[in-house]
Amino acid sequence: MQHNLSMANSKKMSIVSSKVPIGFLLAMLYLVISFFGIQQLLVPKYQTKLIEGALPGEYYKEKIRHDVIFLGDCEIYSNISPITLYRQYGISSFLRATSSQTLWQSYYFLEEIFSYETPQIVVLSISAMTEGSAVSEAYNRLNFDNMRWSSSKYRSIKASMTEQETYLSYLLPLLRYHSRWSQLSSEDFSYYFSSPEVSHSGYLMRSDINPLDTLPAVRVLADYEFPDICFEYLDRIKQLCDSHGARLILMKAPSVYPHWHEQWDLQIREYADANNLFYYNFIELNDDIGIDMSTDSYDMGLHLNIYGAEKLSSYIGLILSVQYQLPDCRNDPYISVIYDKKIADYDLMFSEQKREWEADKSLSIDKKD
Amino acid sequence: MNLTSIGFILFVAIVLTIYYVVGKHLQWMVLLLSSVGFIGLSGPFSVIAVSFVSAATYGLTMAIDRINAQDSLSQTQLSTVTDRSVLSARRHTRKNLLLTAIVGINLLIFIAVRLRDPLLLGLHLNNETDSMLYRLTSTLPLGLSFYVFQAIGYAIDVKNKKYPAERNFLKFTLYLVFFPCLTVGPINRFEPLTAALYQPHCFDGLQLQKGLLRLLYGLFKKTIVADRLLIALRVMDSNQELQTGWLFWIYALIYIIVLYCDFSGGIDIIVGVTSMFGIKLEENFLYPFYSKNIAEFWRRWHITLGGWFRDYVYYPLVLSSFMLRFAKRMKKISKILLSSQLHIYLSTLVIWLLIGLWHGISSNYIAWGIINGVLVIFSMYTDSRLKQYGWFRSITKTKLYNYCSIALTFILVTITMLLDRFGSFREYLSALHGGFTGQSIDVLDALSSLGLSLSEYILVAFCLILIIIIGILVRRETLDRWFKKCSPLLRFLIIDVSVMVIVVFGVYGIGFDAAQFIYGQF
Repeated sequence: MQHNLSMANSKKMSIVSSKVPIGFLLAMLYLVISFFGIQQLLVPKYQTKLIEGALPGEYYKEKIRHDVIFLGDCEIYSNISPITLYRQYGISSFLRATSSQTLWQSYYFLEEIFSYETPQIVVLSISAMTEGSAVSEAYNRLNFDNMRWSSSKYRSIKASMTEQETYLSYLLPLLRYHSRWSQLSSEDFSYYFSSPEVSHSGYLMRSDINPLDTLPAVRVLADYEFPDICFEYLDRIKQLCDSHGARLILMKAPSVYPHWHEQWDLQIREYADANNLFYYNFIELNDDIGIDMSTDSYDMGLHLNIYGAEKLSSYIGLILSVQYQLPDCRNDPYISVIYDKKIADYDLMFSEQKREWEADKSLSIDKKD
Repeated sequence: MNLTSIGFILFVAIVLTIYYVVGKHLQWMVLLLSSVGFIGLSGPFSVIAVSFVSAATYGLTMAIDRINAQDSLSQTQLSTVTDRSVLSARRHTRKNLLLTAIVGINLLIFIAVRLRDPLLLGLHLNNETDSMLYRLTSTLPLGLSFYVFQAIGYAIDVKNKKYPAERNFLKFTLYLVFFPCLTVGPINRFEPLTAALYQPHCFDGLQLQKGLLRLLYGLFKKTIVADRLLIALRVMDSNQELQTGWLFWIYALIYIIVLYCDFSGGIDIIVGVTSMFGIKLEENFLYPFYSKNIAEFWRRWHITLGGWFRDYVYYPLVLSSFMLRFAKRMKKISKILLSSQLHIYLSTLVIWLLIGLWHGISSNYIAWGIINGVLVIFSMYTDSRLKQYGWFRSITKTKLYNYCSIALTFILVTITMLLDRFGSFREYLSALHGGFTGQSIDVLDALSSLGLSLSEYILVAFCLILIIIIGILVRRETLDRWFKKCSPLLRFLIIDVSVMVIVVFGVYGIGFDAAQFIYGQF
């Protein structure tokens, strides 16, 4: 009798002990699913507001090779149109540029690019040479939230983190964005599973016009030397390009302010000469390009609108196609099919933006009257 | 290390794993090493302070214990009564001297740390000189107020032969520095805690789940309610306009909610953590806002501190020969209403003054002690006097009386607790005056400028209702019974949901200055 009881007890115990790990595992699974499910809901989608944040993720949606990669900050993603480069010269290109992208972020983006493909030419905007440290946590988030996990991302975050940030909050963004529960909008639900492209091969189109009236006063600086860290990463970018057989070109976009000081320009020229690189300061070439800041900027000379971007792209495209003999991808049936779709989207967005801007303009004139 | 940080949770998880993996006889060693590591993380001054307190208290209590042993031996060996009494008196004096030394050393360290800033200023040390002493003392030693009081209580008990002194120095040190109790207490008694600390513990899944849930409940109170309202409180602190008229009372209400959720949340975390190790701690809160008078409130709020002062200061004081002589004399002099109880009231006032000073050496804390002492005496007096009348006893049995008493006690507590927020008693009085006479700006406008959105106010209100409901269920033990009956899977799911609620609705991360527990500063 006693033996039977102890048998029953031990059987019961074994059922209980086998239930606990299964229950525990199921609960852990539920915790992981709910954590990542809620995380997906609460992280910003960058589709209607701060769309620059979506740019780092656009690269992974590309299905074609790129012969030219542009690296840099807003002076790249606002000022160069890859669609124009393709339409006029058959150049397949992509802009790997985000807001206030620092030199080291450009380096790690390039490192990641080389793990996917080997472009022939890398064009680097040197406007970030003035930034010796990450601008702010907000910009870091814009630049990393949609970047895929890789050793390059890991090192880029490590190099960019500001004092208050923790690496864990990049690994688990819910720890950073948990407080967005009170700011959820329809965008968070609409783009929960997928998010459409916001750029045209990295180019953020703006068709509105906000002309330059007067140039802001030039600020005199105490020190014009670029930070050492920027030169260090410029060297590393050059070495990376060399090791992959890519040609590095330096450029300064034709934005008329913030003022590009002569001392800065001289340092870049010296660096380019010393390292046998081409450097194009497009501010000096504004007249040749045909940029007119009364019609070609959407924010009074800081960034170019589509009219200015197409002029600049046309000019750069000519240099690239003539000097570097890039292949004409219009003859590649696979690439041309994809670009046809890109061109259609580009033209459609341009016409929509133009219509909207003209409607807004006439509305504001009516209000004034 | 902040109790609400991921670092602390990871630390607990690692210690817990090692605790149940190693042999049972080594479990207390795991707790000791982790406690020393925990203190070490908060700076060298903490390690030095705890080592000194531990070594001094251990050495001197061992000496007391030896005298106690000699005392009991001589009771049997010495033949004459006179010899025994002479020797006993000598030993009593030696024990008193040793106890005075223990209390003196502990209090000296405690007071020195309390007066750290003026002391450093007096020695012309500041961070500009970057002196060794300044760097060493730039952070408060972790848990000092708690282990100093535990050490004194332990020494008094050993002297009174309540229990023999602990012979193992490491085990004694563990009692003082058990890591979960170093931030917000509670102040533990030697016997109940060490019985559980030194005992081997088997892994118990249900116990672990219950402990985890209690920890999560603490995090819920702290990170969702207290830390969120703390944002509003800091905005109000920085703007005098937001502390005038009606807003003063809102300020007071926010503070009492923050204080309760912060302190009781911290205790919930600690009790949860320790119960995961199979160690049951004394509760520090017993639904204090159900109290019908101030004396009852203080029996339900920070119970271990009140209990410590009652047993180690109040009783010795009220039963001291001085007080007894004083009581006798008062009875002879006058037969008026108060005279027979005057020595009790006087002792109560002294105790409250000391509790006030324990919180901080400044005029607002002295006033805090005196006001609370007077209120406690008043509630003791009215309770004993008015209940002599039949009509009053019948009133006290009505629900309305109970509700009114609870409401009045809450208001009094809310007003007195606010003394913490001011640098001096004068500042407090001026703010209180503004609360009665000042013209406040539009309350809704003010609330919208406190850094919280409407949805956050709704969330806080919802959480407070939830805390009240949970309090009622826990009080009736229905929650505990229900949780035990649940299947393991359901229990895990409840824990999962709680984790997610804290992760999403908690206040933490960049942009929020992680708040240490308010009671941590004491």
